[in-house]
Amino acid sequence: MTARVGNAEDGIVQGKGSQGEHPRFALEPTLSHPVRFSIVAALAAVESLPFGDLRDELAVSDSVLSKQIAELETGGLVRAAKSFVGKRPRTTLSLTADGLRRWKRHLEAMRAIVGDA
Amino acid sequence: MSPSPDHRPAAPADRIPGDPAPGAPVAAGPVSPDSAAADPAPAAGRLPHGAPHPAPIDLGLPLDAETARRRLAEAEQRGRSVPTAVPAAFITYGMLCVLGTMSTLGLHLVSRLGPTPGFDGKLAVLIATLAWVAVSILPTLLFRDRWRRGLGRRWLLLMGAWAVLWIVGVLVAESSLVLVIGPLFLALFVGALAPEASTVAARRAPTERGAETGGAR
Repeated sequence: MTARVGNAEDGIVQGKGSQGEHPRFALEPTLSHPVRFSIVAALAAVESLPFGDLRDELAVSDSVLSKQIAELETGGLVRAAKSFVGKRPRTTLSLTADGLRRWKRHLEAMRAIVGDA
Repeated sequence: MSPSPDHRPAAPADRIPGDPAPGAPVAAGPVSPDSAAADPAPAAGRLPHGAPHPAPIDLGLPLDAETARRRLAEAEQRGRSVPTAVPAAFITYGMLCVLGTMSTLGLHLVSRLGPTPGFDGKLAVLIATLAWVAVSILPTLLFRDRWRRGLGRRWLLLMGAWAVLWIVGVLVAESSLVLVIGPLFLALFVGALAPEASTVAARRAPTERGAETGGAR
């Protein structure tokens, strides 16, 4: 991700999309990655999803999904719960309450961007 | 710590195009000429004395309106991909509601018949009820289907309502009040199923409309 220092004359402050700011500042940086976006989009509609089901739905490999899930866990958007079904390990993924809130805010920001165009 | 995949061997790491390699430094954007002139080589992590506070960093997320529109469409599509069927957990709930009616009415009938030497009718009803309660959990465990967001909280409320009604039914089993409590389980089940069925129908409607028009909207 390229970081660009803003111009002070812009008067733009990285904030939470408050009145007067461009809606892109309300975007969730963690969700700029397309796979992470898809992960959160899939999890937002359900209580939880098994790792395998999410992998199949997104059509990505185990390693790609693991890596992006780890990023989302670090960011506090996703929770991964490990359990066993018999002797088979099972990882179940779900959005945290904060993750759901940030996801909705991200969608609102995108709608505002579309609306501005 | 990365979650491990479910007992599958790890595939070679796949990189998404554009995904920076692990450990790669983030490229710094253009620096304001004013700050550069004030201190050509500022110490890392410290502002040079007298230098203006730098403007907040713009993450520069490359998200134009068209990309945002496509992402919103994807988000909507993924939301609609949630299963359009009533979860198997409602089979469990239906069984529990039947058990509620039958067990409370059964206890009432036992009390009306009076005690029978060598046979505890109430105990028999309670044991049979608990056995079927255990069996009723099986559909939920066997099918393990996806639960729509929000169903978890509704499920706890529904189970709480059932538990309260059943406990009250057992406590008033000897009175005629049970003739009111017993049928309430029917109302409880219908009340639980109706909103779920209407939610499913509402989710199915755009999908079926799209199929009828061949995907055109």
